[in-house]
Amino acid sequence: MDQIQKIVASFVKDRLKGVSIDSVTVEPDVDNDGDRVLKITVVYDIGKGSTLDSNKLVGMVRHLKPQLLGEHGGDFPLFRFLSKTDAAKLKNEAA
Amino acid sequence: MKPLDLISSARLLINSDKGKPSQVNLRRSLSSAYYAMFHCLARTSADLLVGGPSAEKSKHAWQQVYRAVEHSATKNACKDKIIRDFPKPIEDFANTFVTMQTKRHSADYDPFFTLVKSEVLHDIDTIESAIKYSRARQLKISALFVHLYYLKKEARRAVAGAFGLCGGWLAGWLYACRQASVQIFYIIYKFPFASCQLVAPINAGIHPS
Repeated sequence: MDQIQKIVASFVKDRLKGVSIDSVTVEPDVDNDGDRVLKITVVYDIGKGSTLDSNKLVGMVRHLKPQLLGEHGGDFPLFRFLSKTDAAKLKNEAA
Repeated sequence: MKPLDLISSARLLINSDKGKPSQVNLRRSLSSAYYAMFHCLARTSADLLVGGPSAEKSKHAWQQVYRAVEHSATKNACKDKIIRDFPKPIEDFANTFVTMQTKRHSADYDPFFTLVKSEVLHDIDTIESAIKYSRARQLKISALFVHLYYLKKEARRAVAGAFGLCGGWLAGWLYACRQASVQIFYIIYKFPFASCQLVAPINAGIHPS
């Protein structure tokens, strides 16, 4: 799992060059149909009101899939992109 | 109802509360955005197979095909490995569809699922991009793929009924293609005319990456 974590983190930072990435977490899970997924949560830190480039986001899964290896090679990457402020709120609500 | 109207609705919902949007508005916003993709696919599929809703003769068939698109079956089609052989906008549309259907399911049915504004905003933007980049004829091939494998029997019958012999041939062809596994799609995609139609917009720089 550590290897996948490194691959995904490196991939996200490379694809979103110029964006300050606060953290990338990867968690294996199953979706509502029982299919295996990799839940990838990307927390970024950019100015208030700014957003990530959707033209880059739309191709993320296509570019990542070939890089996923081993037992998680067939897992579907499920991305969540959260601003640092929102991620902190989410953490506080969960606590 | 136009698919992009649902995107507008999703944006209205997320901006309807001052400051922090309520969880219910975030959930409904995400769900509306997913349905923009779903209706985009349904509309394109019906247009492709029946030829548009304007002709009175084919209205019933168009409606049947439109309503035959199923969530789970479409998701499975979008996850099929063959999608990788289609143009990038179609593959991106398919991947976004899978992602958003999974999120929509959580938003609609999971009481512990919590959303935040920045995430939903990105999801809406991504869906809008996926729809816009794949709206040309490329998506029609994707729709054909979905229908060949997963169209309900009733819809195939409706198509057959609307077009008589021609429809019967089409229904038979659909069935034959379904039985013939994925090979037929390689033929369609590799066919010179189709390839020109598919690749040209990408080479022209319509798709960003």
